[in-house]
Amino acid sequence: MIEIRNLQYRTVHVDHLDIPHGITTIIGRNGSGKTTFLRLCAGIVVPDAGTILIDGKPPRQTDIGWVNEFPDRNMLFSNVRDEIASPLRFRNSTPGETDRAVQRIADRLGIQNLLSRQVQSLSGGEKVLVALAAALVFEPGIIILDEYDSHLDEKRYLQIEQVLVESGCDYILRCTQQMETAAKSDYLLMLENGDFIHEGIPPDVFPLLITTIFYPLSWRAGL
Amino acid sequence: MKLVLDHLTLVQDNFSLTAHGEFLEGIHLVSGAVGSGKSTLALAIAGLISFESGSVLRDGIGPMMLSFQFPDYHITGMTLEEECVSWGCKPEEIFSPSDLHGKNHQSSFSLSRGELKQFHLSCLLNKHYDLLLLDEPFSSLDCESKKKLCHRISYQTTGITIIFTHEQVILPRVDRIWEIKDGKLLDRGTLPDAIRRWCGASSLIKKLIAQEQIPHNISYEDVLEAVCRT
Amino acid sequence: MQDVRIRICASALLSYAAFLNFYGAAAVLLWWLVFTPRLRIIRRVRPVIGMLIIIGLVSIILQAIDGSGFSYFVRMLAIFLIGLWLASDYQPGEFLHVGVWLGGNRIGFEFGLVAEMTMQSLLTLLADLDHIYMALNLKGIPVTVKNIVPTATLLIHKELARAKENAELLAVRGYHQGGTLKPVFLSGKMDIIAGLGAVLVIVFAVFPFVNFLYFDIEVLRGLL
Repeated sequence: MIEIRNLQYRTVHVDHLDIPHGITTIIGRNGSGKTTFLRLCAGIVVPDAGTILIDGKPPRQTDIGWVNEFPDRNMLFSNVRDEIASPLRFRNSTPGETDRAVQRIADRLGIQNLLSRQVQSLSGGEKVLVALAAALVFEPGIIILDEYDSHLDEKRYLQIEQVLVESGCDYILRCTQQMETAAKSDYLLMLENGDFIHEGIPPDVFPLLITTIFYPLSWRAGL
Repeated sequence: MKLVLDHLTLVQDNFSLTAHGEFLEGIHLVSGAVGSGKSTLALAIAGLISFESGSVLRDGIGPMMLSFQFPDYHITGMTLEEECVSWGCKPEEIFSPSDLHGKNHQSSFSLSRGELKQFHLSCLLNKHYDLLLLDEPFSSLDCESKKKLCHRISYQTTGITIIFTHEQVILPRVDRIWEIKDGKLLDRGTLPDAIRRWCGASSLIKKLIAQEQIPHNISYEDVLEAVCRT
Repeated sequence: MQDVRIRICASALLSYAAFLNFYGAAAVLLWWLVFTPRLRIIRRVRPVIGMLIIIGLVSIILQAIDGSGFSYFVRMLAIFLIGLWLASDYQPGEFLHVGVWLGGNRIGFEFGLVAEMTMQSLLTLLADLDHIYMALNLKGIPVTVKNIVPTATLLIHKELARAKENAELLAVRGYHQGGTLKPVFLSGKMDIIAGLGAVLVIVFAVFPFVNFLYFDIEVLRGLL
């Protein structure tokens, strides 16, 4: 369980929140605090008050995979192989283990042909795949994705959705502006002005939003 | 007034694209997968990059503007007010009615990505252009902001507006659909007939077509209306 | 030149040779003509003409002041062309391999990482500059000397923001200190020949027989 207690950071304020295993999606308007909340969970920033514990450990003591919204901002290196290998190199894995793990994740994501390419030459969707590979290569228990789908077309989005489901991560925490994506979650959270105003499984949360545009169109169609 | 692409050929490291067609006054949607060349085509039409062969003719077109996918590419002013003025807009027209009221002197980089996109589009749509190219205008926007943008775009009753996007759910009403597929720009025609020929339509629209409940147009309201008919 | 180790050493030797004296610079230019893909380099790297103009202008001024303009031009041209060659032959990732080869998996990796991220930053800086010019163009704002300061301020702001994002990404990827990497280098016969050529150039520039060359010229002048 991800346990959040008395959390305060800028506009984000959470008294008591438990996030179960599985895919949890956060929705909300621009500026509601989604990215800030995800950055807190990833340990990128530290709260002013309160705690976040992922299976009893704070984020900075947990292995976390992170994917940013902007594909270009997920890149440290100029070539794809170095980018994907970087988390393992930083963890002092042996070169042999690193090479094998990079090949494994490239096979899983179907990006073997990208390994020898320069990052600048990739399309937006390919960059997201590379960022995802770098986030999953060290087999983290949790992966956090900040609106990763906003630069993806339907084909790439479905491909990545499959990868996430099969990733083996205990927690997949993401935010999105696509309500069809949010509908496919195990748990749903809605943020407004830094507070969680709705939480629960999608069939419990979305009916509360039926008069708004946050209700999935496919659900209106009965699909 | 019309925009003519005459056997335009664009070649980059990882793709090539040919485009041939006429864009008349109205709102056009150019859809295509990520990496298919939509942004590159927009840059070529705006005259900001060179192309391999062919030509772009802006017949009777005066003022023109291209909105980049990433709004921070447009920033030339350090504060929001300076940025507003750089667009030729009056600050009171942009700041007063919006959520940015009182934030004139804030840094242009202090906004969240969605807020910056909304601000940028407010400045852009405050002016009239004969040719308006919008590259992924919906990216980074929340559902409500996308809907508001669609509403504002619908006010573009004169001039040529071309929306380059892979968005499939919240879209404005358009007059013509184009599609980039297998390295070619294909003209799917006018609405509603174009919807049947549109390969990049969302799964929901494809299901509605299969049920012979074709939406009149591709906007959220039109698709919802078609859903209610089923 | 495929082997980055030979390329870096050769660049250092050749730059020093060009700096030392006119004859060293002339030998460097000859080396550059023989061992580098000359036209490809000049076409690939953008600010060539601008730099050559600046070097030319300074040379003219020095020639007028103390007659050393020609020597200055040849030496600066040689150093500039070697720098151009080094930049254009850069392959992404190779500084990391050189760093680890030289300094091991801790300090060497850190230096290599810094060098790689610096190169990446330079590339994105050029891309950012392109975007800013496009934005000014679209807004109908002319690119003038008056715009240089606000443009530079914007660039610096963007680079600082990107540096912060990179730091966060490094942290979240598990970076603490150093890393493990097995350096791999490609070497060809021509690399070794060119490297030896660079050694010959520095010997030619440094070895005292260069002074005989000066002496011979002075003797000839005296006789004439």
